[in-house]
Amino acid sequence: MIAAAFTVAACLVSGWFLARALTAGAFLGPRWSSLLVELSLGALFGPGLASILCLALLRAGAATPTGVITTVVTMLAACSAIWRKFTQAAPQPPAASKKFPWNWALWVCATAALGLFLLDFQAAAGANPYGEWDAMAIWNLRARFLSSGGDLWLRAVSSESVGGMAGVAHPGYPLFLPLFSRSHGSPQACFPPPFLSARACSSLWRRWAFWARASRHAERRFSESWLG
Amino acid sequence: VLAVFAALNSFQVSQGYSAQYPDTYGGARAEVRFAPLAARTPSGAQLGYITDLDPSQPAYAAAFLAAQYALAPRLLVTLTSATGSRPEWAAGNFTKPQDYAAAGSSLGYEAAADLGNGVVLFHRK
Repeated sequence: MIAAAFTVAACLVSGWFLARALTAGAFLGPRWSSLLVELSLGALFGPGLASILCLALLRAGAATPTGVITTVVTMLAACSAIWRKFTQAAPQPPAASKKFPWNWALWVCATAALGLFLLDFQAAAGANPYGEWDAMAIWNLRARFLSSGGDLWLRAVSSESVGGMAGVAHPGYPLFLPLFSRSHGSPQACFPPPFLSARACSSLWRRWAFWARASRHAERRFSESWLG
Repeated sequence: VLAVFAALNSFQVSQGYSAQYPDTYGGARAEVRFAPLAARTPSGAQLGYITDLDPSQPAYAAAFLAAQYALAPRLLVTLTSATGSRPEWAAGNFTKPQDYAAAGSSLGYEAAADLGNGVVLFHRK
């Protein structure tokens, strides 16, 4: 449990370092707004990068607990180094300009629009708990294969899945979304931008939980096979 | 202000659509229909797919996909009368009551269990 929590935390921090490096000097507003962007991007970058590396470990037969943790720690160190290198050269933001007097009205409109968006999203997700077509046909179906034991995960990238209907299965699509989308008993709808809604945050958390569970499962299987 | 009204309109459209077409892609229905078949087959199995739908119709892909989603990680394999892969077990997905044994027989399968709701478990002859 502690190892899984550390791995997830290291992935998030790595993503945050990477997001900070890539967006250095791009946002001139208050720090909280750029921090929100960095955290949102970081939640995508870190796990995305980790999932690619873990898939490579899986293929190389090195997805042991030690291998995974070593890889994630190396990734964290590399992202930290990238952040340090890029942010040193980043330009300092200029002093804040004069405030727009009607900002309060914009806030009211933005809050109302956000509330309506949440209601809209809830209505769509409630009617289709297994997601829209792409979520079900591509991402969540492949996630079910990926979260299976043994070599069954290969079915996620097989041209034979979905009856060989490549136009429906899209076997060449990246594995990032399905790796995070599967959580038994609470399938998710299409992916909204992170941090836009409470449902999105909750589904993101469930994806983390799934990822941690899938990682532990894969690690255990590999350990068992290695240890005989 | 325009954006807020557009969001309100979008919400109304979504709400109406959701009420009119719940479970649009049949995923929830398929989970219920195929649950007995999933319980009778190993999770890593390959299953032949037998249906009364014409593969050239759009409904075929949607029905196949919903079945595949409900049965994953089992892999559904399309069967043809020509020689090809013929798994030991096959899943029947029918839109209306009919002679299931005859549907499987032409592909070399015999009906092992009628699981209701148009779902039939077949076994290779």
